[in-house]
Amino acid sequence: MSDRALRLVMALLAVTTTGIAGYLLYSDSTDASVACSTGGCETVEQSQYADIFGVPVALIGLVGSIAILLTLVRADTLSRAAGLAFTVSALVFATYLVVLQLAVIDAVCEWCMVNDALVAVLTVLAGLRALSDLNAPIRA
Amino acid sequence: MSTKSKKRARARAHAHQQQVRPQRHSRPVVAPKRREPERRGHRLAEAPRRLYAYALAVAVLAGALLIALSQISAREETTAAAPRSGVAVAGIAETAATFDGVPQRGNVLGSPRAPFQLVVYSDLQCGYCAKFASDVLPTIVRDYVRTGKVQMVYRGLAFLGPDSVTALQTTTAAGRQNRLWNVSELLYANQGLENAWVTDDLLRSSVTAAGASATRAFAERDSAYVTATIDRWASMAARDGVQGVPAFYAGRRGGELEPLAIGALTVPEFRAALDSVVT
Repeated sequence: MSDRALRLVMALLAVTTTGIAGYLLYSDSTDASVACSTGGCETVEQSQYADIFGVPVALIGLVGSIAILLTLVRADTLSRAAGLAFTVSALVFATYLVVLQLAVIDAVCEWCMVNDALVAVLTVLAGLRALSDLNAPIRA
Repeated sequence: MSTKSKKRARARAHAHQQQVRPQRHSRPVVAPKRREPERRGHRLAEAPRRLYAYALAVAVLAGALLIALSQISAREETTAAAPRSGVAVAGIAETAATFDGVPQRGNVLGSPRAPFQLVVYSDLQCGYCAKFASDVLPTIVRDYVRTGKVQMVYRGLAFLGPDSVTALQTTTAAGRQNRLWNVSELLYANQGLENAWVTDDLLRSSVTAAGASATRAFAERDSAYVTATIDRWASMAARDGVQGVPAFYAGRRGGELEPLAIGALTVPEFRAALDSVVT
């Protein structure tokens, strides 16, 4: 897969995660109910893990998604490395949030789960971009 | 020098040149001028590798930092909400068993898309309301609310005295944290002599045990939101013709609700009355 194609797929995924984070942030700030078939979204949203010192986790997700989008503008090594850094840190935190939902809060927010799955795919694609950069011919 | 010796000397010189020339044109095994670009290329290949390594390290550290901050923040929130008094609250485990995992928003319990709605009017000092809360409500929540069939709506009234007002204000404020049902259930479980049992210590402990911030609930119990909400419930009760509490109204969500005629506050009686409307 070419870098252009990888960037296009990543951009689509990052736009989706931006939308999900924005929706969860909107519902949290306006007290609007979340469309959630499991009923667990509100339980998760109301838990003490829904914000970090007053900053909603959804806002952190929104900022992270936009940051990933920005790393896709250019194809140079620095952008690829930044993209890898953002996606890996997002994956680490997303894994923690999944464990919290399953083992501590005991409720599953389907929006969060979809978002976490997309972050995992984004990380794999960012890794592929990095590998293709490292395997490229030496630019002496 | 003779002609012969001149020829020999030219032949030796030519032979020497022949020996030297191939050396000049052969590919040197170790040529200093060729080694320099190779070293530079090696350095250039190392640079991105190092950059990616740094990026990965920073990413893992950033993720770990977020996790640590989340844990500290959650712990501080729990500590801040911890009761300052040693008041023992009855019914914590039962309340958690009844409501854990059931969505709540304000005074609404259950799925926002449930086809049916059950409205409960009650006063937190009312003994029959406490009986409904302990004997009937857990079964109704389990069989009708958890299954997504019925959504329950709490409308609190305060006509039995000052303790009713204080308890209702705090419970309504807890609704801002989506814990109204838990707090009301805990207060029913700890009900005492009329207008002699609602203390700030009990309220603080009950709100905390319900999983909400008592500090926030206390700060909001005199707010315009709480006052307006309680006034609205009183108006609705007057409109629905509520004569006493507990009073129940059920029907299709968004449609006309009809009063439930309950003889005795037992599960079979309540179930029969509710089934006649929601099936």
